[in-house]
Amino acid sequence: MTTCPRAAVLAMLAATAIGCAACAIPATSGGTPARRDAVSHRPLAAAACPAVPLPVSPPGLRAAAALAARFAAAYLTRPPGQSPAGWLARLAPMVTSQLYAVLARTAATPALWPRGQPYATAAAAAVRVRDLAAGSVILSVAVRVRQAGARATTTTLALTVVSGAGGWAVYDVEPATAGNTG
Amino acid sequence: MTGHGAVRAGLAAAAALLVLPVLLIAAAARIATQEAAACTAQPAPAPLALAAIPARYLALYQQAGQEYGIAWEILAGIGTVESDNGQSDAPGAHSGANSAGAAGPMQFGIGGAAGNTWGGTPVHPASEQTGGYGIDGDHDGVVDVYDPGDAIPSAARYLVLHGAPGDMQAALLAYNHSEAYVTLVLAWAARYAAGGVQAVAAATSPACTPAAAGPLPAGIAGKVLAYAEAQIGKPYQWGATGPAAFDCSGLVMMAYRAAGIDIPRTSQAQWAYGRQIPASQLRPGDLVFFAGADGTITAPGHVGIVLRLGIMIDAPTTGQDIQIQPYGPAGLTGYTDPAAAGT
Repeated sequence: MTTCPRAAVLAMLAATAIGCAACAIPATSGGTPARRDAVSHRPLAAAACPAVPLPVSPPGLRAAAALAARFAAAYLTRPPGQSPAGWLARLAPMVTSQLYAVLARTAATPALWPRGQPYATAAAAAVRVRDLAAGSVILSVAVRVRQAGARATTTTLALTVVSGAGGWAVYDVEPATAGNTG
Repeated sequence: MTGHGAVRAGLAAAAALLVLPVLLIAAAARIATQEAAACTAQPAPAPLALAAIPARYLALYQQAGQEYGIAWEILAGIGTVESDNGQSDAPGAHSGANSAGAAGPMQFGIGGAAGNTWGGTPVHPASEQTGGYGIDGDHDGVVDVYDPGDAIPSAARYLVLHGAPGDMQAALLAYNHSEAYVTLVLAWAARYAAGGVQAVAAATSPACTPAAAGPLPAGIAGKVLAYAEAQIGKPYQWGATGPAAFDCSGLVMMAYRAAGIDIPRTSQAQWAYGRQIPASQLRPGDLVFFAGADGTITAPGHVGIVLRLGIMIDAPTTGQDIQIQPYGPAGLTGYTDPAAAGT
């Protein structure tokens, strides 16, 4: 029996999941050379895998990617005058209760909110699928951050997004390069 | 113990063993590689053990076995070969040292050819940090190489720090660099355990490792371990922090997050963050670090959560699911208590 490799599934999703302007979703081999499950970029003939059981539907993946793009931008945006409480309030509707608790502890840490910090605006530039499982997706989100008086920089985050009764929610946010090979 | 021979009673025991069927000894020597269906971490004593081992020694073997996850009959095998379970009058058994510098019922090195594996003087206050393997097992404030209450748990600890229970053969070889010694200890163990060779094989099999984990502790450690144990069987995935898969440091971070404690993301940062602790102060839920595949001894690339000394739960590497497994000294960096960071 011929089975579709996981890489082929991701490649196929890449072809079907492109949705919003902020989140073109090319298949990717991930953010670091340490990853061992590189994904093929070759186009996949539809007939090769006629019925692939996907752990996440293409509409579901589009919703997850859109949420990840919104969250990543809000996470890295620091409008002038915004308080930690305001930052937290923007993120709250998008996250799991467990991640909310982590963000709340972050918001309550004065050292992370220095006085006179230059404000920054951020926008998701690209969203890539890093891994799929039933009910959860890991997305790599490249974010362009513009600070007053400085050149724009790109920060790439790894966002794990999970589906629950209330729809998709961000479960974790980490630097895309963070991990250990064991 | 390393670098010394068995005392006279041990030689007598060896002579007695020569009458054992060859097959029994050969089977015992293969214990480390045998598959065992059932797991009884601490088998019942056979009649011979009840008759030949002084009651205090038998109780201490069983207590240390339970505490360190070592089959008690292995400790009894060592104690028999080394000092006839404290009944030998050979030099070094009760005072001084034998010609190789070994002392006490478990014949730890206190100097000479045997080196000083006990650490410090043979009898020293428990408050003294010597860096040796001797511990105050009976909590009387003194670390006494001649006291079986200290020597027997110290021997169990030595074995764990040299690969037991996962690789008992290697641990025993570290205890005394002699294949014949290992065979002798295992043969005695097989005579002491109800169920014989099969019981020893079962008790030293990997299948026994999870069963030896014991109940969860209270407080933060209990939450950390409950979370980690609930992830057993999920796959390792580089860069993943759950809920479907984890890498080693991702599992550790999320286990502590489940207990309401935020720690850094990678093993290198986690090592730098937590308060480092010696093995003697290790508690369940503490973290154990290794050089691993992408790190070094000083910037460790692998981390697990300690269930107890020598046993951890971790997300090993690609192709290996989250599991409870023994660990040894290979590549070991050290331990931290993340809940006590900065203290």
